[in-house]
Amino acid sequence: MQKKRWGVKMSKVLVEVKNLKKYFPVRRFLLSKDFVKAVDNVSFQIHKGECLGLVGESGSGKTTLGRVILRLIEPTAGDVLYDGKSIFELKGEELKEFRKKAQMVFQDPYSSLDPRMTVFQIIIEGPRIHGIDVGDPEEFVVKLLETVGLKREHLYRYPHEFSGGQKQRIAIARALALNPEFVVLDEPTSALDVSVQASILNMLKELQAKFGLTYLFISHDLAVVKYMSRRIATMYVGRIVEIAESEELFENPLHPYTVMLLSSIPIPDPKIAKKKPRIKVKGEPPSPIRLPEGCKFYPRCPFAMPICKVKEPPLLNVGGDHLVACWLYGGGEM
Amino acid sequence: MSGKDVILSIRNLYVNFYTYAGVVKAINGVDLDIYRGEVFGLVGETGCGKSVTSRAITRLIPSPGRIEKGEVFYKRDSEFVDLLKLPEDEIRKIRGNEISYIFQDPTSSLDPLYTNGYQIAETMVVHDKADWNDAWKRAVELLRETLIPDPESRVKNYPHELSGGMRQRVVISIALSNDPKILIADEPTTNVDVTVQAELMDLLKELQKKKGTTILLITHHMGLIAEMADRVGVMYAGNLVEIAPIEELFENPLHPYTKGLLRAVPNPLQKIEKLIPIRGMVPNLIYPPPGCRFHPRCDFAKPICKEKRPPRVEVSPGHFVECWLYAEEEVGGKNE
Repeated sequence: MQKKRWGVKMSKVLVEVKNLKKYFPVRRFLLSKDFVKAVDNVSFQIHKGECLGLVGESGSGKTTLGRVILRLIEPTAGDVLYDGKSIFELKGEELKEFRKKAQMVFQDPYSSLDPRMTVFQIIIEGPRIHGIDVGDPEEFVVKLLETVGLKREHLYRYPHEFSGGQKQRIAIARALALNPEFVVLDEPTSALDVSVQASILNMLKELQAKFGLTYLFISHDLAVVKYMSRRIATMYVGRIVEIAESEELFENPLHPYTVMLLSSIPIPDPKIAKKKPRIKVKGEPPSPIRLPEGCKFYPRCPFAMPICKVKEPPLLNVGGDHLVACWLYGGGEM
Repeated sequence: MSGKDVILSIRNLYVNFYTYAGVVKAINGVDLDIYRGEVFGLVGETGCGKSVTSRAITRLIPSPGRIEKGEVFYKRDSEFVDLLKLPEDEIRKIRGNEISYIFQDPTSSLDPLYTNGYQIAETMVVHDKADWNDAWKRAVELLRETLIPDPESRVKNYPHELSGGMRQRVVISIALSNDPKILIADEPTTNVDVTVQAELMDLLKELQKKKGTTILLITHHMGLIAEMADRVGVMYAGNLVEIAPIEELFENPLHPYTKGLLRAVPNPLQKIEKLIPIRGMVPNLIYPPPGCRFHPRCDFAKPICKEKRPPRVEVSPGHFVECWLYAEEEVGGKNE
C-alpha cells in the first residue's frame, strides 16, 4: 500500500511521516477511559526545499501534528523519518543535532517570547546552548535582526516594547539563529493584521529562497496557505483527507470536505463573492472522543454511500500526485 | 438596493480615552450616514476605531473613554433623535431593543450562570415585549430560526455546553429577539472556523432579507465585506477615510490606504507572486501625526498632507474620500 501511494519524485524527501498517531487520554467519570484521537494514522512526505501547507479547522489536529513531527511531544504510534532516520530513536548528540536543524515558529508571539529576556538574549540562547561559534555574538544577532527587518537599536529591548508583527519577526530570527533546514510555521500570521501579515509572509518566502529552507506551513486561512505553499494537505478530525499541488487543489478539489472548505472562503472581490454558489454542509465536526465509524466526514457529506459508514477510505493517489481519502474516487478492492 | 432613507447619521464624532500614558484620540471626527435596510461594512485594522465608533452609537464606551463631541441621529418612527443626548433610561429602551449588538466573543457575551433560554427570554421581558412564558416559547423559535439543532433541549443548556459557533448563534438569537431596526455586528465571526463563518453569514443575510434589518458589520476581513456589504467605510487611525458602494471600492479604490489594504490581502482565486505590504506602522494615537494621519506611510504625501487634515470630497456619486490627492488645497478640512 505504501509503495503505491507515492510516485517517483524528483526532489529528495526530507521528512517522512508514517502512520503517525497521537492520542490524548481523557478520563471521564472514574473508570472509563477515552482518547482524543488528535492525529490518527497520518502519512505524508515533505520534500527538501518545498513549503507544504497544512489546512484544517480548529481541533483538526494540525498543531498536534506539527509538534509531533518536531518531537515536542511523543507519538502514540507511527514514525517520523527525518533524512531517513527515525526522530524518535535519536539520543544525545544526534537528538541535539536534530533540534538544531528543525525549528518552530509559534502562533502567538506574545507568549512565545520570554518577557524577562532582551532580544539579544532570546536570539543568542539557542547558539549558546548548542555551542555554536558565532564570532562576535552582538554582530551575529544584529545580522539576524537585519535579515528579518529589524535594527541594531532593537538589540537590548524587551519583547513588550515591540508590536505583534515585530515580535513575530523576533521569533523568526530566533528560529533562524541555528541555521535550520526545516521550519514548522504554526499559524505565524493569525494574530496579525492583514498589512503586517503581508510583510511577514513575503519575508518568510524570501528567507526560504535565500537559505533553501523547507517549511511546514500550518494555517486555517486557505488564501494564505495558497500564497505560501507548493502543495497543500487538508486535515479533518485527525486525518489527512487530501493532498495536492496548490493550483490543482483550488481548481479541482476532490474530497467533499475540501470542496466545502473552499466554497466557505470569502473572496475579496464583490463580483465573485456575491454570486458564488456555496456548497452547504450542515453540522459541525464530530467530537474527537466519539468519532463515527468509517469515514469521519460521512455524517456531513452530501454524497455519502453505504460503504462510507462502515469502512474508512484510504489515502490514494488518483493521478498527478493528487491524493484523496474518499470512497467516491475508487479504491474499492482495498 | 435600499433607497436613500437615512436611519442613522453620525456627525462629527470625537472619542478620547484618558489613559495613564496620555489622551488617546481614538475617534477623530467621524461622519457617517447609514441607510435603512442596507448592510454597511466598516473595515480597518486593529485599533483603527471601528469598534469604538459602533459602541459610541448607543453610548457603550467604557471608562476611561469619553465621547467628546458629536451627534448620533437615529430615526425613531419618523423623527430624528440624538442618541448622545437622550437620558439614560431612554437610551436603555433603545439598546438591545431597537439597536442591538453581536460582539466578537460569544463566550464573554453570555453569562455562564444562566441557561441560553433564560438569556434570550430576559431580553424580551426587560423590554416588556413578552412575559416569561411567551418569551421562553419565543426563545425556542429563535433558536430554531438560527438553525440550532434540537432547540427544545438547547434552551435548557448552559453556554458552556455548546460549541463556539452554537454560542454565537445564541448571541444572534438574543440580538434578534426584539426585532431590532439596526443590528450592529462587531467581528461576529472572528472566533469561529471558516465553515461556521459561512453558515453564520448566510444566516444573517437571510434574516436581513426577510426582516429588512439594517446591519452595521464591523470586520477586518476584506473577503467578508465583499460578500456581505452594500456599502463600505474604511477606517484608519480614528478617521473614516473612504466610503463607497462595495463594487466601486474594490474596483476603484481612491485612498492610498484603501489601495494598500486591498493589495495586502491574498485572493485565493488568483495566482499572486508577491503581496504588497503597507510600509511603516499604525501611529500611536496619543501623539497622532499632524494633518492627514496616514501621511507618514503614504507614497503620495504632499507638503500639505503634513499640515492640514484633508476634507471629505465626493468624487463620484456615493464615493467619498478624505485625501488631498482629490481635494482642492484651499478648501481645508476639519481641525485636529
